[in-house]
Amino acid sequence: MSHIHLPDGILPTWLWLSGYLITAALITGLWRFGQATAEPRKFALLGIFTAITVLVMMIEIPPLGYHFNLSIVTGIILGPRLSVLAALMANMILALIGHGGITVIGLNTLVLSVEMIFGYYVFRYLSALKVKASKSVFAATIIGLGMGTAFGFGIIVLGASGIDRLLQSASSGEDFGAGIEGPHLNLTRLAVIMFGLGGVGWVLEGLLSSAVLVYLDRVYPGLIGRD
Amino acid sequence: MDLHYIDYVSVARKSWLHNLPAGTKMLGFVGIVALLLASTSIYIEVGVAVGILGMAIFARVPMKIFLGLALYPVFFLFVLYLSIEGETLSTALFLGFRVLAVTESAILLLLSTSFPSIFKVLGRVLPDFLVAALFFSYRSIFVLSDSMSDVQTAMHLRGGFSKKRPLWTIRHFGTAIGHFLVHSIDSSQRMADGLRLRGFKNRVYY
Repeated sequence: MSHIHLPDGILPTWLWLSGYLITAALITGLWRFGQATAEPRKFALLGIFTAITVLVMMIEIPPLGYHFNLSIVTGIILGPRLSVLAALMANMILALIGHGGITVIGLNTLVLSVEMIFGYYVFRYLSALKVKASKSVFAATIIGLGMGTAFGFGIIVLGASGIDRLLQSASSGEDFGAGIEGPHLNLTRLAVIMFGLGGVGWVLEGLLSSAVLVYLDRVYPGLIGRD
Repeated sequence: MDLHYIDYVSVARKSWLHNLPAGTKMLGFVGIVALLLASTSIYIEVGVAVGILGMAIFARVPMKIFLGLALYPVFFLFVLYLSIEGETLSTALFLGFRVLAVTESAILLLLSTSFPSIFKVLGRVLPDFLVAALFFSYRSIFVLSDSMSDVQTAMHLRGGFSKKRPLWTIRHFGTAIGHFLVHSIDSSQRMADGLRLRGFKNRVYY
C-alpha cells in the first residue's frame, strides 16, 4: 500500500483539497528555489523513471492485490527533489487510467513523496555507515514503505469522521434498532489490513529493490552515488 | 493493461465524443465529478453510471477495456468494505456506484481524448515545466513498454518464475528489472541529448 488506494468520493472534500494545496506549494517551492528540472538530462531522467514507476505499478501480484512500486529505487536514483515531481507525474497518469483517484492525486503525491524521501535518506545514511548495498536498500525499502503507509493511514484517520458521515448519510432512513450504531469506519481493522497485508508486500518489494540496486551498482557504479 | 491500445482507441477512433474539443470534455468531466461528490442520493450515482455507460456505447468505445478499467477501483473498495462496521447493503451500493460512476467518467475521457490533447488543456492552468514533465513521462511509457515486454519474454525463456524457489525468482526478476533500468537510463541519455540539441527550455510546443 504505497499510496492511498481509496477511490474518488470517499475522503472528505477539505482533506483532498488540502492535499492538492500542499502538493502545489511543495512543487512551487521546489521549482522556484531548487530549479529541480531545468537541466534536460534531469528532465529526461524524470520522465523515464516516472514511466518505469507507472509500468511497474501496473504489474499486480494476483492473490494479494499488491503491486510493486520501485518507488524507493526511483527515490534513491532521482534524489528527494525530483522524487516529488516523479510522484506527482506517476499519480496523475495512474489516476487517468483508473488506478487511484483523480481527487486524491495530491494526497497520493504526498504519500509517495514521503516514502521516496525517507527511502533515499535511510539508504544514504546506511551507505555512509558502509553497510552492504543489498542490506541498505532492503532496510531503506522497509522503512520508506512503512513511513508511506503510516502517513497514508494518518490521512485516513484525519478523514475518518467525514467518511463516517458519508456512510451514515448513505444509509439514512434505515432503522438499526435501539443502541446500535450506524455504519462507521473501524480504524483498528483498517490498520490491520494496511500494515498486515502491506508488511508482506514491503518484504517482497525490499528483496526486489535490493536485487535491482545491487545489479545497478555493479553495472552503473556512479549512478547511486556509493563510493 | 495495454497502454498502446488505450492510446490507439483515443487517437484513431472516430465518434461524436472523439470529435468534441478536449477542453469541453474535461469541463464536462469536472462537472460530473462535482455532481457525484455533492450527491447523497444513490439514484443520482446509478443514473450517472448508467448514463456514462450509454455514452461509451454510443461513442463505440471497446467495452472490454472500458469495463476492465472502470471496475478496477471496485476491487480496492473491498479493502474499505472490510474496515466498515455495521455496513448495510444500501451503503455498499451507494459507495460502489459512486466509485464506478467517477471512474467511468475518467476512463471515458481517457478513451476518447488523446493524452497530448489533455496535456495541452492542462497547459492553460499548470506551469509549463509540469506539463513538459507530464509529456515526457507519457512519451517514455511508450518508449519503455516495448523493451519491458522484451525483458519479460527473455525472463520466460531463461526459466521465468518458479514457485518452488521464490528467492531465486525475486533475484532473477530483480536482475531483469535492473537490466531494463540500464536500458532505460541509456534511453534517457539519448532523449536528453536530443532535447539539448533542440534548445529545450522546459516547455513543449503543441
